[in-house]
Amino acid sequence: MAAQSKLSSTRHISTQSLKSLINELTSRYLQHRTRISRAIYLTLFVALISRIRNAIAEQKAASQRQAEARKRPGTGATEGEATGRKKVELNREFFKNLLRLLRIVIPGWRSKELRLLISHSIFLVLRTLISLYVAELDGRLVSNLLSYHQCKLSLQYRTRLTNYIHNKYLNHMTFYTLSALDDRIKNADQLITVDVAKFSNSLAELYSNIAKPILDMVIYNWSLSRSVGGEGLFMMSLIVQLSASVMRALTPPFGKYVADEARLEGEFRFQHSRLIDYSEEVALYAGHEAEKDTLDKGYFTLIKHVNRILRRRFYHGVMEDFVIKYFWGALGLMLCSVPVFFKVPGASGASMGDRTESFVTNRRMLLMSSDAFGRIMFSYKEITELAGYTARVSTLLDVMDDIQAGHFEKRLVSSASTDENAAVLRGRGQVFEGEDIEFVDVPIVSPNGDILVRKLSFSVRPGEHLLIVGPNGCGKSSLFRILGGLWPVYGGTVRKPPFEDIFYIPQRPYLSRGTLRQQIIYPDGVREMRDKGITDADLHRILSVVEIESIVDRPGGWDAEQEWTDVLSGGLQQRVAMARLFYHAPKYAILDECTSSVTLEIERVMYDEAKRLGITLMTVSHRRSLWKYHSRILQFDGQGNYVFTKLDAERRLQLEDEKEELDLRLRAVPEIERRIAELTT
Amino acid sequence: MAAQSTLRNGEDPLLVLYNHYLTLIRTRLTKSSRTAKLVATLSLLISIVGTGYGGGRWWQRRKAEKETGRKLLRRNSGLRGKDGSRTIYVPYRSSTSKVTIYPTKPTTFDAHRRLFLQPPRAAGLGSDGYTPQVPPPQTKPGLNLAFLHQFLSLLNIMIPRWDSKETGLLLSHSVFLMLRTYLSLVVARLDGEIVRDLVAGNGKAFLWGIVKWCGIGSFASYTNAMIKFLQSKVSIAFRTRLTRYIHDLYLNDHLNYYKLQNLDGGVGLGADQFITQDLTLFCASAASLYSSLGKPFVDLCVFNYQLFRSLGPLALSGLLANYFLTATILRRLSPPFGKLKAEVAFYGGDQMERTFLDKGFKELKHWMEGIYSLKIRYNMLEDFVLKYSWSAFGYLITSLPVFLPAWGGLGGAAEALAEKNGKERSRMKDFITNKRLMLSLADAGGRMMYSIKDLSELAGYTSRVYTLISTLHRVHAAAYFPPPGTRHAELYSLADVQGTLHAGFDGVRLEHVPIVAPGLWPAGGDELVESLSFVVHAGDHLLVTGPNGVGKSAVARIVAGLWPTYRGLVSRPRRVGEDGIMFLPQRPYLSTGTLRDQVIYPHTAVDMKDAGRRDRGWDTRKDWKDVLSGGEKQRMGIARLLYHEPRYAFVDEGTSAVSSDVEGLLYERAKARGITLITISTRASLKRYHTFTLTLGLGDNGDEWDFQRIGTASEKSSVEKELHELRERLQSVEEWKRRRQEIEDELSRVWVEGGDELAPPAYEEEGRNEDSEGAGEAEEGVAREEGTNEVEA
Repeated sequence: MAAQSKLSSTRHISTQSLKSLINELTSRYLQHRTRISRAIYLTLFVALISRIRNAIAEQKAASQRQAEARKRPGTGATEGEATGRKKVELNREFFKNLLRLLRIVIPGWRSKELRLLISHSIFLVLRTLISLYVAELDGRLVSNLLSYHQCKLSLQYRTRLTNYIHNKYLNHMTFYTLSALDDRIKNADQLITVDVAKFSNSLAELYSNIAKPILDMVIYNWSLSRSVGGEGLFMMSLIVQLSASVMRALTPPFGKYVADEARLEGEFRFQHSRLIDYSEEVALYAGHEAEKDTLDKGYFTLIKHVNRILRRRFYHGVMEDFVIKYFWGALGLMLCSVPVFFKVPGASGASMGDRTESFVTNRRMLLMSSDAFGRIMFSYKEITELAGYTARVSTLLDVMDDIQAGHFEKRLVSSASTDENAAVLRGRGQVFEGEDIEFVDVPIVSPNGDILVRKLSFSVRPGEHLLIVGPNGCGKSSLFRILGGLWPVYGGTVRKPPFEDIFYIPQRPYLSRGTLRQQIIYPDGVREMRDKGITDADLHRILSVVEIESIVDRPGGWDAEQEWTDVLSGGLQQRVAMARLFYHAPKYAILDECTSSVTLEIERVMYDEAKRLGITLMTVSHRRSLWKYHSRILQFDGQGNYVFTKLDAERRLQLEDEKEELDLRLRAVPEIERRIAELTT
Repeated sequence: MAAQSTLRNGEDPLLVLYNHYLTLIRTRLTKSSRTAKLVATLSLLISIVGTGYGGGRWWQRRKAEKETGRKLLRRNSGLRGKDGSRTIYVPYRSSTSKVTIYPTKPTTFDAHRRLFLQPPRAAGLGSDGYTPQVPPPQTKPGLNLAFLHQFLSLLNIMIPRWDSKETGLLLSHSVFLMLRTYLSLVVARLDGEIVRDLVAGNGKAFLWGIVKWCGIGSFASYTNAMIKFLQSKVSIAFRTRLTRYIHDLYLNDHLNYYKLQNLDGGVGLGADQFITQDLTLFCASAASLYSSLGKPFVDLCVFNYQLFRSLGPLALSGLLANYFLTATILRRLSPPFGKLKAEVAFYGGDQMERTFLDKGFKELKHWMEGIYSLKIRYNMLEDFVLKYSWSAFGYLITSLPVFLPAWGGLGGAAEALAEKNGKERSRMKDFITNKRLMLSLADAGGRMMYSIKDLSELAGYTSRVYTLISTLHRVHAAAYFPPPGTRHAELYSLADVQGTLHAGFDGVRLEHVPIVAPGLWPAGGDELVESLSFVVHAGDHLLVTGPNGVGKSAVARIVAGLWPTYRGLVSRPRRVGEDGIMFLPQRPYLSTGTLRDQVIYPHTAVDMKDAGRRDRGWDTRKDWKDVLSGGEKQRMGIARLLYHEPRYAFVDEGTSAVSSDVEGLLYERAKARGITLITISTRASLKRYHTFTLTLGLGDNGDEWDFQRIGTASEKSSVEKELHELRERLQSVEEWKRRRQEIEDELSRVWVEGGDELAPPAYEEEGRNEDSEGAGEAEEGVAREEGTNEVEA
């Protein structure tokens, strides 16, 4: 437009009136050029702000609606399903979560992270400035430092976040409750290790990936518009936008195609693995020709589809390549030609050298600016990725908060749907602390919501050793979980000593990593041991009771650090666990099949020692030999009934033995009858 | 705007051209004779009618084919051509598409055995030249001779002939690749022209340049897209060749698909992974290799030659020495990043324990910090070496002809002699040219480095695919030999097969055949029965019985040829046809397809038509595995037997889930059709349908056996004895039950402190009542069962 004055001298245009009209318009425009461009900029800016405001308002309304919708269906076990399938989107939720996580990873103004971030930004600006003013200097050193900073930052974020999560995760039994009572988080360890790392990586990356292109774009566009004039830039970006949207409209649904391809590929693979599964049957039928047809059919279905995609992609590729590389390139050349053919106010002279210089600079800036633009486009994908990680990590944090507040969500698989069970599950019992253990009408519930025993009542006083027997899955473990406080009490009254007074020894004792001493005094640390006034000599005496003092003589002695689960055999591990019990000498101890791998002799020594230390034992065991150490028995029958009685070990033993013998014989009866029937026919 | 004038200029010649030709045609028409006009009109008419007719025919044929395709797609049928080719219809978009598959000839497999089973000693494969050791255990995937051998062997399959489709694809691919290089040169020159015009302020030329730019651009983008397209096409063509080859080798009469995993075990259980995923990756990376390696390689050759021309041999050797030096230095100094990664993974997921966790994390952090600082230092070093030392060295080299013209190359020396006066300018020009060459050379070298990384990836895939195919070949050819150094193979290993399987005998006969469960190669098998001999002729039905795990099914597997016959002789009929033998497996197998396909399996619908059998309304496709119940699946197996009507049938527990009356019916029906049955079952009630019984698992060790005719005196007396014993044992059942009740009462009595008895809570009573009801039900069940037994008797 501004060109007409110049062009008119060289071209012959017939319509004089048109020429004069255009001339007039042009001169008017040139007079008010600054004002007009300012007005345009202002309008654009206002439009941008209003758009952002609109988006925020929309998100607010949407989140409000969502919150309302969440309130409505009431509280129940099915609630978890509705919220569980949240779609990962860039909405207010994401920014809220991100802000929350940012507060964790950058705790204060004087933290190391912020210092790192600031120096990172300084380097970023430095790099842009260098590449703006010094054409040929490749900021290699700077970019190396940048990548170092980025790695450092990501590691710092990860440290902060991991520490924070560990604090939460390992307090108040959260780690147990998370896996046992709540099914919103399936694999917490993977979340903590992998997803946190990915989150921090992508957060650190994103900063440099977004900050730099934006910075670049602003700087380059500004200096470009100074040298070629705002109009050209404006027109060009308009055309680029237009062609991009045309291209987008013409793009075939590649996502769907790819999904189809993956499905077909999966089917083909499934047919192959099916053949492997049934290879014997197919071989016996000699059905390989039929199977080959099926396989080939699967393969060619896939290949036909792939070929079709390829053709579509070819057409699309031609178009895309042309538009992006050549059409936009031509536009760029035109833009660079503006100061040559038209006089741009504010730009300097028109000698050959000046022209060359301005052309070269403009072109370079245009290239860099479009590069930055492309990178911003590309970083949209990264933001969505970050949104995914943010959602996962913040879900973990939310769930942990929920759990610490005592709110569980679990989808129940089994009979919990019946009204009766639901009623039981909704109720809550009372828990008192006291010297002895007493259960009054407490329902025992399995982890997936089955009611195992409707009302359990029993009591254990100090010195009354209790034996608990019953088939698998009858509620023994659930009982212990209630005693350990891991499990909510769904009804009735429970009186139990504080958590520290009950010691639990499982069948496969947990051996932590660390020194031998730590194995014995676990979960105490060395300092607690010193505070209790226990020396290594005492520990040695404890070990000699269970006759494993020899492991101290192994290389390293008390301070040997090993993977103890691999080093010690099953029986030795159980003895170490018993040594742990003697070290702690609690009031009550639950022994869950914990002598299954040791000899009878050691077993006797263990029980005698425990009684000597005044520990009241609650034993779960199928071993008859243990009966004589107990005075009470709690017997479950696995069908919801139980017997709690005094134990007259000798007589009971005899009766039980006889019963077992009879059971064995009776079990063989149907088999014998069947055999007779077969032989007589 | 500015373009208006050019546009108008462009329009006018077109109009002129149009007018010119119009007048030309008019004058011709008026000049030509009447007959000529007539002939022209006639020929035009005929051609129009002919095209229409031909088009209509073509269209109708296409429609008919689509119709058959739709029908056959549903029926899962394979059409067999006269030359052994198979025609299958696959769904494509909304209709179907026809694919004809030509089988791989058995001679091809024989010819390829040399490539896959006897790798040349030069490649460092076969340990002693004559024992085929496949997959070669000592060769690791990498860039070595083994890789070359493997890749070339696979190439033999992928490009079977010089005039195959793949050659054409590769040729056109390379043509387009060269075209791209040429076009990039043209574009660069055009760019220069445009810039020149722009700087000169020549507006018209500039606009014309832009137009040219767009024109060339459209052609260049076509070329680029074509390169990508052809690359994928090549990859697909490779994959199709390999997949067909593997399918033919995997699924044939040698039962390789069974033996591969049950006897050989060379590729583990993941053959599907090999065939689907690894093959795809291999083909994709092999196809991309061509384009990614080809260009830098050509560049390297060209640039090196040019440098040699202008700089001479000395400089070139110096250059090459520099490359090698820097490469070795960098490799020496580069930290083992691969190893470091493994350590990280080790710390990654472990048990959750506060102190140890924190400690572990801290260690991990230190580790990663170490890696980062190591990385940054290494990167700086690499940049320094590659960027600065190379360019410094490059300047040094390029300055050679300037200072030492005698040492220079041919071109340089000639030029130096020719242009005495323009020496300065010539030097300048030479220097710039050489510098640009050096830079391009470095660039091409860098790209080459990257593609070498790709190459080592390809080596990994190649080794996997090669392993699969060579293992298949080994299974196919049964090429098992004792390991080098030992003269005899391990007992009952795959190299120790001395027996014979003879198909075509009218009956089933085993002569001194040991029943051995084979181990995976090279381990030996477990002997279940030392030597088994029996013979079954037409009409002699045999019942094979015995406890679990004594090798009843093993007999079926050996007769079917799934397991090798280690010693002795096995004679049986042919597998297929009405005088053949059929095996019904223990686990029912339902294929994918229509209900008809289930019954006629392993036949297909077309085979059925050939056999002259009819059906209607059987085209329902379902996931039959889930639709049918266990008993129905077994009945489906019997239905297959009745459909195929073989002369002999091996039924392995074929009626275990079918009620006894139906079972009897099925057996009677099968016998009426003249099928000789060999049944494997633990059910003694099946005896009455058979004439012989083979009892395995007798004796103390369970390795003795007994073959006798049913109904003889010895067989009857043994039955009587057993019955007597059992009846005696049943006498005291009532007594036991009473005593048990007493004990339970005693045990469930509840005491509290002081010996008083506590009344049981209310709910416990209910529970007990329920219990007794349950017991009642159980007894009823027993009674019912007895009743049915009586009915049978």
